[in-house]
Amino acid sequence: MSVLGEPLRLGPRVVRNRIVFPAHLTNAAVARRPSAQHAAYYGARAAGGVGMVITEEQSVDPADRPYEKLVDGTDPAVVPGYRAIADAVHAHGALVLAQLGHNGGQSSSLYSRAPVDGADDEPDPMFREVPRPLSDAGLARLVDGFGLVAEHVVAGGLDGVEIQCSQASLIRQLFSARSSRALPFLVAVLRAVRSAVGPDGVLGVRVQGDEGFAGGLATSDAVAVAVAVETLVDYVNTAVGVATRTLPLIEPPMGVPAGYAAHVPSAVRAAVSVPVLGVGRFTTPEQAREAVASGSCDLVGVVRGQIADPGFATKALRGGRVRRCIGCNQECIARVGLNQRLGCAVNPAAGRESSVAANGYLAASTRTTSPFARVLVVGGGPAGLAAAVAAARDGHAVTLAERRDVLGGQLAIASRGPERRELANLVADLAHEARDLGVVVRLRTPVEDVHGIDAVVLATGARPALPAWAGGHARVVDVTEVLTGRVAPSGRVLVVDEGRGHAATSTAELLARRGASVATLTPALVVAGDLAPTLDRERWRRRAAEVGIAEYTDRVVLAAHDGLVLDVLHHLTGEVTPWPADWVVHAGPPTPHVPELVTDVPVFRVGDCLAPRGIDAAVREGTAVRERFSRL
Amino acid sequence: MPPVLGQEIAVGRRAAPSRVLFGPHVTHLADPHHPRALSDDHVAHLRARAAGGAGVVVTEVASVVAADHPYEDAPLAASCPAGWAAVADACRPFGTLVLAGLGHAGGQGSSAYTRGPLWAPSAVPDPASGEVPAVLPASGIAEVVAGFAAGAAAALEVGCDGVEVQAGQHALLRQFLSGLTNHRDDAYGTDRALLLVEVLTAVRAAIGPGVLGLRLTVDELAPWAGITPASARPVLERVAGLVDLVVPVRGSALTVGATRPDGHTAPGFLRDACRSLRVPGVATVLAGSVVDPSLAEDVLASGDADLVEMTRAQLADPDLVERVRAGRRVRPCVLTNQQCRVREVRNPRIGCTVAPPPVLLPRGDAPVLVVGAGPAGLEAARTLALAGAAVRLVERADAVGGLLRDVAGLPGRARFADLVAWYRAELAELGVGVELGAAAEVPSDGLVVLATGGVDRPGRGVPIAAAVRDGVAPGPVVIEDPVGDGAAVALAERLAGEGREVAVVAPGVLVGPGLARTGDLVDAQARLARAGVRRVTEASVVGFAEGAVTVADVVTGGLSSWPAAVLVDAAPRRAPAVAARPGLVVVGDAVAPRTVAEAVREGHAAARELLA
Repeated sequence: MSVLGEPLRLGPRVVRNRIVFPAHLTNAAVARRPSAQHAAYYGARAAGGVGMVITEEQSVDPADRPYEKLVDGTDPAVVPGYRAIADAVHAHGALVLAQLGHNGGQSSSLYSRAPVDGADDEPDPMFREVPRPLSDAGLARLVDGFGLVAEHVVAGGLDGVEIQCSQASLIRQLFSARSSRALPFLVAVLRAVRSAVGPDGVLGVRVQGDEGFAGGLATSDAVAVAVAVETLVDYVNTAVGVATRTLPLIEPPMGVPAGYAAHVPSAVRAAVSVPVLGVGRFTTPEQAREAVASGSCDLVGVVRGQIADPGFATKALRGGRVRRCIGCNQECIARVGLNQRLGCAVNPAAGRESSVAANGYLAASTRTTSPFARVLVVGGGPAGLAAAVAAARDGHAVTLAERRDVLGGQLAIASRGPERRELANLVADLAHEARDLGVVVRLRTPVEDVHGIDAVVLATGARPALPAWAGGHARVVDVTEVLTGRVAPSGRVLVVDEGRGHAATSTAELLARRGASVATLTPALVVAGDLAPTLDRERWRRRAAEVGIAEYTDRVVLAAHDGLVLDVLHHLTGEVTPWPADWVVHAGPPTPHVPELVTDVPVFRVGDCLAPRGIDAAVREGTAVRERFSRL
Repeated sequence: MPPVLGQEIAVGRRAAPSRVLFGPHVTHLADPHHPRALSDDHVAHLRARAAGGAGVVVTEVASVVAADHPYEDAPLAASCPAGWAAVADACRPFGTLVLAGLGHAGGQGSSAYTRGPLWAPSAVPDPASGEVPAVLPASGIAEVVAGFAAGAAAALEVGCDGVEVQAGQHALLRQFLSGLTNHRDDAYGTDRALLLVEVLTAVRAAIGPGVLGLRLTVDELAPWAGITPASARPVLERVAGLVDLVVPVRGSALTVGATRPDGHTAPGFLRDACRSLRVPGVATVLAGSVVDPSLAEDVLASGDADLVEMTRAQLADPDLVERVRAGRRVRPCVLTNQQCRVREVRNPRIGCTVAPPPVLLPRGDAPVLVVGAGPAGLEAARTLALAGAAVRLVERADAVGGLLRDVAGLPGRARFADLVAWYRAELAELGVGVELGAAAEVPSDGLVVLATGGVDRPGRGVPIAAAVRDGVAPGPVVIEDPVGDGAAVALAERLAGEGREVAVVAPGVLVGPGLARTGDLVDAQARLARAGVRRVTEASVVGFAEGAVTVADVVTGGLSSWPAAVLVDAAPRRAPAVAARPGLVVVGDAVAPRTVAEAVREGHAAARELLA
């Protein structure tokens, strides 16, 4: 067994293995209290074998409320919720700590309707509110708050507390401002919390190792803080990035390699004798194993990997194929940023563990009484694959027919874009699951009429739709024609983005890297608006600058004339400009493809053939269709 | 002659006690444990307007089917009967008609909460979300019709006077009516009003003699395919026999901000359309930034409308109708939309820039010194005087208003001058002495409200407050705006309007991102573009010398240079150093520079703190 499976002493407690589910926002709180969803969510990861769970942050001040669903740990009414979390996690043998924090100036008055309390009066770059600098008395009050919340945590039966001093934290702000009050405040907080959790409780601290901007805290600062408080804590957790300034460092998208932040725990581990926790887009068992085996950390944090597959830890330790996180950030990061409950593009049950409806996604089988059905799934994209897997898992006899010679549909095509390769991991994982479950996969098999079956799942996706202005011009093409290699535009290429996702930017970059002179143009205020919520925008902008892609916003194409000159309207001013190009590549919403099937059995539409949407809709609807078979 | 707006009027078979309607709006007042029901706070919100004299109140729009879940705490008709009953009971003593708002947001909804597809007439993505909806099949249409009827029946059953059916902004019924969004080739496409007629017929059958109101978009501001007043008229004539009340509104999914626009749009903009759309037997309501009683009075007296919708005006002053009846001043809505336009994912509770949440105020005749006559000091002085305190208000400048005086000179912000004038008149009536041109020493004892505002933050350029107040030196101007609210945008517009060369440098993807909250974001980009203002985004000023500003791209680090004789720094101000002592309450920007809403709120709350 690798080091990953070895128990480790954390002060008074022993954690059963080295895999941790670190703190991250879920938006599962109701009325600022932990909910049944929290317990079910953490419990599912404990059941999946994780060594230790660290809850999302519990605030130590009722006025601290940067987002609506932040738990107010000072309210005694949180204790039953903590008790439910503790019971759910302990039932499966894992430890569970609560993360405690105060967001300081990285906060908002939107809910509190009171001035934001900060380390100083410098506005946060994201919230942009002028804080009221905390006085020494104000800091002392917050020390009491940390102590009070720690008492609630202990009363709820959790195993200890982690103090947040990174990402979004008043303590980070004090250190970042090089305030002489920083270390004394942290020490006072740790002493107050230790006094509350007692000798049997675990106490950890999460230090900031790289704020990601000039003059910000660096690895040496993390080491200095860790050394200074080492004797007061049982372990040190690490982080990079500031949530309201350099968020992509904290939750990087799929273009960033695993272990990108390993330098921080490595340096801290070399300087302290307590265990050190490392994080940084470790999404596969191999990466987690390597992080610990290489000595960069004693404990490895896997957030997104365990959101995608709650059974990650057991599979990592005992062998087994996980359904991998693909780093798309669409349902975990983007949704949470929009004040919505966390989800997962590849795991439809994530974030819904407590709801009855989610049991259809979670349970080993929903088929209890009805006999098995013969199911034909038409289409091998993510929706069809997910449907085939879910139906086969229920014991139905499933055949999947795909028209093309490869599985994956639009996902496989999209994975050809720069830094989009991990999308193909979902196709591969679903295909493996399907084959393991005995799904009969037939490629190059268009379906016209069906017989000898009990139900059809129609997952035929959507087809590219060129706009009316394209006018049948041969050099006005859809992005998929470029990504599949059917056409190879060169020269002056205008990529017209009437969608929001990666299609336009992927294609633009692909062509620019082949030497084309590329510009993007969109009617929207920004090109590819969905890239910001998933934290892809920053890397895209860097790469676009590197290959010289120009960007034009607020513009609508009205017509394409021969010789390929477009009429382009700047809709803010009404100005129309002729726009010459050698090729025009269009990205926009496709049209559902619903073939006429001759059949008298039930037909269920899932994914893009119902309405063209994202990966999550395809996987979710495909997975959920199993519930329909039990009623056949 | 008594004001017309205070007079009773027949609406269908009922009578409204005044001609002022409080329209449906998103509030986020729900109880998080019952997010799709109406809460006690909803009831109190509507009751306050009924008590203040509103003739008709419409409850927050409730979805008629569960598949429609447009925002997290959007009411659901099936969860609303208890709340509707409570609203009806609370408003009954005042005679106010209570209509239950019923709707379906269609393709303008959200799939975030149902995790299912959006449903719409055709697969046309909504401009706001970009999400392609599923096409509503015939079975779904039948469910929608039945949902409206069931919701209406339930509302009447529990004591509502009627319902208001949504075919305005954020409405499936409007999407069916519009060529922008209805590309169907079935009967609901060849006759785009068919679904509306079916819904109204079913609702009428469900409510019998109850009041049937219709909120109908009559101008989508997209004449190439959208609804226009000319195309709306035959629709109205067709349903005239079914409805008792119609509220024509403006705006489409392309122009969401046009329905309740901010101060850049002149009040009463739908008056002509309203007049042209009057149909016999139907009470017609003028909506759209009707915030001044004088305009309302003129409209009603002229017969251009039978009632006026004054939603925002009654957020600013819940007692509007009673005050007008009594010949008293009304606290003016300033049309900034900063606190009341809350249809957004963060779920902020509704508020009002100029109306502080009321606090229970003890009586007290103690002497109080208020230092500073900006919005915080003015509100504190008025509130204290109302409570009986002996107030002395001292202001260093030669007029009251503080920053409001300067802000009122910016485009779209003129109504702040109305707020200052209102405070001046109120204080005069209350007998509060205002000492102008007096720099008050803060005494070491006694009760004091310190409302002296913020101070400029040392920076590279001319502080924006000074630039707004005094103007700037000749030559090209670069404004660096790390805040992103309306101030830098408005200054840029004003300078460009004077023929100046202007660039705005902003750290984010857009200039003025805070304007998303007010509904002005897109319009502001258009005004800046038309005025020739350069928008330099994802950028930060790194140097200013020799007639040029050097700007760095915050992502790539790439440098660019912009001509500038003047660099204006729109960074927020900072609070002055204040020595705390008992009896001294610091409010507004002197605590931390923020907006008018915080100044007014804290000025109001200070009175209670001092008199307690």
